Amino acid sequence: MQYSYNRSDPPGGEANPDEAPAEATTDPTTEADAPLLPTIPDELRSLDRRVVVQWRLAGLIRGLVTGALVGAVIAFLFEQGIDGLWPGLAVFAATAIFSFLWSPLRFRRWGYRVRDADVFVRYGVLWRVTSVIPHRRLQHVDTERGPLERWLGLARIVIYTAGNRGAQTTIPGLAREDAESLRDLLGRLGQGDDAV
Amino acid sequence: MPSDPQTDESAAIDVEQRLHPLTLLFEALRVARAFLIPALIVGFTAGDGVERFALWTLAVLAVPAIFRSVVKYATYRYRVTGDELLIQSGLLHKHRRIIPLDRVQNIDTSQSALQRLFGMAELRVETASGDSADATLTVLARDRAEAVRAELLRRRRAVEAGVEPGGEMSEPPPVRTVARLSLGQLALLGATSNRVGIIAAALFGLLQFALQLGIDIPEPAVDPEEAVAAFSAVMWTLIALAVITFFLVIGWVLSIVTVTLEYFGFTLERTEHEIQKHYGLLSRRQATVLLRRVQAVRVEESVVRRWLGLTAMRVESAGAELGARQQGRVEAFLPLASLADVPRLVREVFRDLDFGALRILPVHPRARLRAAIRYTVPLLLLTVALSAWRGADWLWLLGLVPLTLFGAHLHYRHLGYALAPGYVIARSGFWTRITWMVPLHKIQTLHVVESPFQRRHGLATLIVDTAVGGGQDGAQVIDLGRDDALTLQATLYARMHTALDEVAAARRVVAGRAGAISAPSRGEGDGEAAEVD
Repeated sequence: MQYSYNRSDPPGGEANPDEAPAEATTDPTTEADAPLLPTIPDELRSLDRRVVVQWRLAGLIRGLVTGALVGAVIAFLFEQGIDGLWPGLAVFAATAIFSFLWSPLRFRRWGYRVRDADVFVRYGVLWRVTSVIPHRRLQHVDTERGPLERWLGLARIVIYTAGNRGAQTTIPGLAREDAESLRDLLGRLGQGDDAV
Repeated sequence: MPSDPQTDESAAIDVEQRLHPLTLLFEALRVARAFLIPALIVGFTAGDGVERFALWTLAVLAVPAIFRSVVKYATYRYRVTGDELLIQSGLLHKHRRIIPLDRVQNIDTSQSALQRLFGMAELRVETASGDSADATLTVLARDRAEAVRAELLRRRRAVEAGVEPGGEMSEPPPVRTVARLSLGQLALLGATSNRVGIIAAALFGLLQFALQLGIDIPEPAVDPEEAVAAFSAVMWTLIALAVITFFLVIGWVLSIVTVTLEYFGFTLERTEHEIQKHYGLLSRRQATVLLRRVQAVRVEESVVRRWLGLTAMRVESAGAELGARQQGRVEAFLPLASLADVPRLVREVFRDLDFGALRILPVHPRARLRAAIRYTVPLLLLTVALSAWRGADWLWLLGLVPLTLFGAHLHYRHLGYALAPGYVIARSGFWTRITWMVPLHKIQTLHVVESPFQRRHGLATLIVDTAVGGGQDGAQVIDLGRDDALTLQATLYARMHTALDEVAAARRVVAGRAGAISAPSRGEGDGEAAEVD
């Protein structure tokens, strides 16, 4: 059985176990038999567009809460009275504007793909993460829905492995029925090895 | 160490067993420690009314704790049926736990100094499931704990070999000593331990605390201000140095003494499928880990030890390091080994990995640039801030720039990775250089992470995630070129699958052979320690 990022292209891994990556460091660009790099954006699926709305609304709510908190602290604890309104408003506005602008960026960076042997995800605006989670390492899969997600008809999928960093990988912003079918699919695919 | 598990009492493990009655005493001591000390502190420090209220509160809290301890002792039962360890406890809320022996990662016994005084011991059984032991039998008579441990190990071996658990194959496998620590080595271990600094700092803090409490320290007869004026700056520096040296020497001595007590008689042994260690003078500890369950091996070299050609080794198994959680402190598989001995020790765990032949490859050269920027820019900012605030004198700080550049170079020199057949090796750290060795078939997930700073230099970090416990960082190859990181990710990914296929095939062969004797087709898959209400 072949496992690779791209099924049409076998990885260089099994041919010569010692050479490939060793040379990759010294000169990565000319590496001939390197496995095809998983940088194929049009092959990745993006999240449901509604997730942008979800993130913006979440930002709005976060802004309201922190703004109210900051305002209340300044108004009552520092006894500034009605003047506490302005810093509170400022915090609210900053959070809201930030999440308004940030959410589309996040959306644009998010991509995932469920393949024959693994789930591949790429996300992150500042810290960019490219992860691969083999089905055979799966412990279990959950779907989760918060109030906002329920209202928008969205759900997120949480994939658990026995690892540390990758112990939990979340794919947010999936249409509800997609998330559920994906969960069932992963549940079926993920029956393999004794994971540790 | 009693190595005679095949006595008749071990057979009694099949029927329900209780903890030793002294459990009550130890539980009482535990409750006392939890409540008496706060009570005393409150009693000494608080005013009259507050004091009484606080004492009552503590008493009200302590009563349920005592009650729980009694109930625990009265209802706690354990037994082994076939290939499962069964634990139950609870009066109203019954708690039953089943631990399949083939899921067990570690079996430890330990004795605190107090438990030793009473001839008691504590037995811990761990699976991969979590942070705390899945079963802690506190306390058992020492012989009993050893017998149960030996019996659990025997049965687990039987399960591993696919033999009917009740059946024959009861011969304990031959044990071979892998390493021992002599007294001289223990002293060396204590002397190079970072405990020195910790103890020294703690002593210093204690002294300050004592001074603040106004414990009698003879006041100088002269007016302190005159004294200050009389001493030159040189004198003060000398005094400070003397004080620091004094504390360091004391810390050093204490470190040697405590380390020696703790690791006294350290012995590392191997059977065919397990590795075990035992040590300790006042409190004794024994830990066993199944080699098949080892997730990674780590070689750690602090600067000092590196200069002396010494190192520490750790074996990581899922859920817990080998004996890692004694009092929340991380312990080593072998706390001290000479660098020359490492290849042999590694081979004891990973038979097919030749540590000596590893060629550690450098990461991308731009990693040096990145480190240089990371170390130098804060220094420049500090210089600018200080000279703007305090005057141009502080520009001398710029003289430190060569140091940061050299530090960046050292940082870069100690980053690296290697690929060996069946393994991936990642190394990082100058002050403590850590070399991870991860078998490809233990890789869980692979991540490439690019921080904003790395991105500017086209660098990325590859994280090789395994099921090692304790929420640690794990193996990572830091600052590869971005494309190299992705290539390595893809390569490791493909090889992981190949390795897993090989392991599965090998296991099928073994299972096929065992199947002729009996047919234990246990479900491989999920289910660590199953919990049944």
